[in-house]
Order: sequence, then structure tokens, then C-alpha cells
Amino acid sequence: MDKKILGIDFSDNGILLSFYSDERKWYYPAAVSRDEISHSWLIGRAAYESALNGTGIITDKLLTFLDKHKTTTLHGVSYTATELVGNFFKAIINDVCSDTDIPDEIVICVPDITMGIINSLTECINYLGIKGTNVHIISRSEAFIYYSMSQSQDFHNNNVALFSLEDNALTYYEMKTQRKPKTTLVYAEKVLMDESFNIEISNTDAGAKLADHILVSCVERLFKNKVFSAVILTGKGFQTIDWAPEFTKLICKRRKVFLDDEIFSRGAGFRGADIVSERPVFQFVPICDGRVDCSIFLTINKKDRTMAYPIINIGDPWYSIDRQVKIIPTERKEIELSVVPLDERMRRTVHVPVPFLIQRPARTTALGLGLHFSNAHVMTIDIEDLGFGDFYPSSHQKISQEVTLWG
Amino acid sequence: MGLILCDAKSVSNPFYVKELGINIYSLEELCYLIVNYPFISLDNFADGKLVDFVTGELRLPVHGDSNDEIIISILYCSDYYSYKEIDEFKEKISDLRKLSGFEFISKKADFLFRLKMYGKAEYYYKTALKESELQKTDSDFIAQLWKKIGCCRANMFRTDAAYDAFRNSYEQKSDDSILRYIYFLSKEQSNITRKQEFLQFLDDRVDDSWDKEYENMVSSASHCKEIDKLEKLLDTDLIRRRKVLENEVKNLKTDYRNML
Repeated sequence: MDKKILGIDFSDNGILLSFYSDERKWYYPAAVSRDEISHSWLIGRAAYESALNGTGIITDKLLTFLDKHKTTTLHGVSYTATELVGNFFKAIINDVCSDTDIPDEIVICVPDITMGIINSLTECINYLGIKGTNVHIISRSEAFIYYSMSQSQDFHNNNVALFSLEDNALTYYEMKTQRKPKTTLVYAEKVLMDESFNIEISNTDAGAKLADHILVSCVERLFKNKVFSAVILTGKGFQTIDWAPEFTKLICKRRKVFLDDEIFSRGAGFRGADIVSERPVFQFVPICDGRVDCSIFLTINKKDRTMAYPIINIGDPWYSIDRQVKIIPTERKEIELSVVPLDERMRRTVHVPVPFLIQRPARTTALGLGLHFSNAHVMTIDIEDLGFGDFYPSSHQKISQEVTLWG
Repeated sequence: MGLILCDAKSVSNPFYVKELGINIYSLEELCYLIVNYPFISLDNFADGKLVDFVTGELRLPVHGDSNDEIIISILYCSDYYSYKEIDEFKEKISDLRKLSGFEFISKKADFLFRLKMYGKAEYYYKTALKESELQKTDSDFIAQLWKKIGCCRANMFRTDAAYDAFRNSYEQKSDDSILRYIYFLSKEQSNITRKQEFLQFLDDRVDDSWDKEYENMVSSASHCKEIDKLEKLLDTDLIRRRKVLENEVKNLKTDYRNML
């Protein structure tokens, strides 16, 4: 593969970068400041140092800063979130990439995918003005899937668990595979555990024992009646696990355990490799944060019978869905959609009324259907009267309806 | 609910149907025209231009050599009609193909008349008339054709020409309904000399009820929903009223051009 693919794991705690099929990695705390005198942008530890010595004003937790569209003033100059985080990325890219090393593809993974994050990050990358580089944004869950599925078969033969331990946040990811005749579905769920603790407590014996006990009870509950082939530990809190001997003993029973702080950035890199490959590298459909967890069908006429026509496929990235379909209703004044999740027994039918169907002869009203998602579970359907060519001009009437897929 | 899935791609060059004065932009519209406008689709419709449109713009194959084979093959390309409906249409084609030349043309004219395309309808009535005169068809049929020509002309406000056609019809067959039409035409005729001529022709064959009937028709027309709608739109300030009238005149001109 000739293309340079940069995988980035971006969270409030920090940003970790690695190139696909390259051992090197770079880590920066998610903080930025501007030097008062030189006006140069300082990132990560340098930013913290400038704050400590009074030459810079720091802004950290940059992902939340970006998501909430905050602004800040540094040395009398106001910066929007896009400008600030854009300069943060610029400084990092300059640090990481030489002139001949500009990536062709950048895949950024974030803890949670929202439309706001997608739009804001896209704005930031555009702000960088890197020509010819394609940028993709995925969730950490998806990066976890691609990392796991790029490993050997015995790694993901059964379920795969991942524990991420940061300050006051313990996050659990679980991946399982469902092999079907025509495809393989890989499903990853993320849970922010109620049981979290300050990782500093592991520095004391009593604190370490307590933390170990918390982790053991989590594992006993989460792993009950399930089979895992691998467990991954990542995050600042798991740089060593000497302080959690009982937890270690439990998770190492009959399975492989890995400590890896690059798993998300590496997973993003594998995803990038899949994107640029002429033929798909991976033969599975991921279902996780950022992906639709159900297929949606329209029942259409096919000569003398009906058939289910898929308009949304399970595993499609919901944030990039912009599906346009043209249909002609023949009977009732509503559109029926079948929503079919992973467990097909839970399928349901959603009825979308079309109140503006004008009195025209049968089959002379074409409707334009536009589908897009504002989040993983809420789909917006835009319906427009397209008329019927010169026979019956369009009335240009439109409606928009939100459909909650679940609940 | 039955839904027909359409090809969302737009065509660069629509297919123009001269006899209807409309463009066809999609396979579904073409199928609709073929089945619902058989007097258009069966009358040398599947020419080179149509085949180019179907193969080039719609990117679909065309099968068959004859007009009927080609249009049926087009119907099979789409899910707009079921197999059963296509079979029913094939039977309809078979029935229509049994008509003689001038019968087909006459029915085509009737069809265009129903679409308010009076100019085109008149043309085909006259063509049917020529054919039927050549074939020495019975006078009833010829009388009917002249009557329909008269109706076409009357709908286009060509009062004098309509009178001539009605007179020709009456000469073929003495039908009192023709006299009634001439009487109504006389009401529309503003030229006094011509009006006198119409009434002279009628002589004492005017029925007493026709006046009342005419008055009722005028009264009902002046209170129809289109007039009510227009009056509501005009109930506004001078500038908006002018705009409404401009639009209405424009629409009437378009409607009249479509009639021709």
C-alpha cells in the first residue's frame, strides 16, 4: 500500500497518533496555548509548561471545547473552537509529519460520535487547509472493532473485552461476532461504568486494594456466562497492572490479555487501510457507535408481487447517510417502513403519513423521499411532492418527519 | 401500501410528445402515456426518437420491430404496471386495431376533444371525414363528424366556422340538437348580420325552453368555483389585483394555446 494513513485517537485526555504499518507513535495531552512573546502555538506538555511559567494561557479538554463551540481569548485575541483546535491539529501535524510525510488519509476516532462532533472536527480539518488529504471520523468502538478483526483468528474467536481506565472514568467495550451465511456482523457495545475511581488511588496499598476489588466485581458481573478469547487493557490507569493482582488473575484465566495504549489509533489506521483499498480488506459489517443498528426497508411493487427494498443497511455510518429515493404510492396516504434490527424478531413497522397527497388520478404523484439521521436512533424523513412531469406539475409541498427507530 | 420505486436519475433530454405538447422525463411517465393515451401511443408513436430516448436517456433495452411490440416492451421494463395490467392493455390494443382507419382517427379525435385539445381534435375529425366520404360511409356518421367539428370550433370561440359545421351536419341529418347549438351560437354572435343569418336558418324551429336553458347555463357559469376563487383573489388592493389579473390572463392564454 502506497498511501500514508494516519490514525488519530482524540479525547479530552489526549491525542495519540500512529501511522498505519509504522511502529512510531506520538502522544500529546489535549491542551493548547499561545506563547505571549513569540505567538507560536504550544501543544501538550509544552502548553502546560507555558501556563506554569506564565507565558501562555492554556485551554485543555479540547474535544469538549470543540463540541460545545466555546470561544476563548488568548492575549487579547478571541478564538473560536474551530480556530483553536484547528491550530492545535496544525501544530501536531507539523510536528509529526515531515514535508514528504503528509498523510493521504486521516482517520480520527473519538469516544462518542455526535453530529456536532463530526461537523466541528470536519471544520477543524478544513481549517488546516491540507489539500489532497481525506479525513474520516469514527468512534472508538469502531476503531476497537477494526483493531480486533485485524488480529489473528484466535484473538476474536469468541467475545473480546476492552477496559479503558482514565481519571475517574472506567469504560468497558465488548465485541462479539455473528457469522451469517452471506456476511459476518461484528457488534461492539460501549458502557461507561458507574464504578470509576481516581487512578491516583492505585499509588497507595489501601487504594490499590480497593481499586482491584472494584475491577474484580466489574469483571465478575460483565463476564458472567460469556466466553472471551481476549481482553485488552488501555488508558492511563492501565499503564501497569501490578497494583491489581486479583483483577489480573481473573482476566488472565484461559484467555489472552494485552496492555496496549495505541489500540484506538491503530484501529483507526486499520479502518483507513480498508477505506483506501481497492477491494475491501475486511469482510464484515461493523455495528457500533456511529453505525445504524438496523436495516430499513420499503415494501415496493415488483410487477405482480411485492418485495422488501433496503433503503438503509445495518452497519451504515448514520452520520453520512443522505439517501434519496423517488417513489409513486398506489394506495393509502402513508408510507410504511420496516425497521429490522440484528434480532429480526424485534422488527417493527413505522407508518409515516403523507397529508398533502393531492387529488390526482392513481399513480400520478411521485414523492421524493430523503432520509438522514441526526443521531443513531432518530431518522428524519423529508417528503416532497414531485408531481408527475408535465402531466401534473409539482405542488412543491414538503413535510419533514422525525422517526424514532426504537422506543 | 403499494409503492412503485422509480429511477431517481434525471434525463438530460426529455422526450417531446408533439400531439400533447408535453415533455416526458421518466420511464413511469412514458408508461402512463402509453396506457392512458392509446390513441397517441398506437399511432406511429415508436419512432426513432422514442427508441433513442429509451435506449439513450433511460438506458433501457428496446425489443420488437412494430410500434405495438416496442411499446409493450417498454411497459415490461418498468414496475409501473403489473403483468395483469399489461395483458389487459394488450387486449385493448387488439380491440383498437380491429377498427377501420377512419374509425380509429375519429376515436382519436374524440379522445383529444375530451382533453380539450379542440384544434387537434378538429384536424382529426376532418381527416376522418375525408376518409369516410371517400369510403361513402352512411350519412349519420358524417353528420356526427360535422357536429363534432362544430363543437370543436364553438369551444375555440370560432362562432362563424362552428355555424358552418353545424349547418353541414344538419344537411346530412335533421337533428334538433343541432338547431339548439345554432340557437346558442346566435346568443354568442355579436355581429348583428350574422346573428340574423343564424336565426333565419332556424326560422320557427326554436324551442321555447332554449332561452331558459341558456340563461341557466350562463348563471351557473358565472357562479362556478373558478369564478368564486377569482373573485376572492381580486378582493384586494389595486397592485395585487393587477398581479392576479395578469396571472389569470397568462393562464387563459396558455389554456387557449393548448386547445389549438
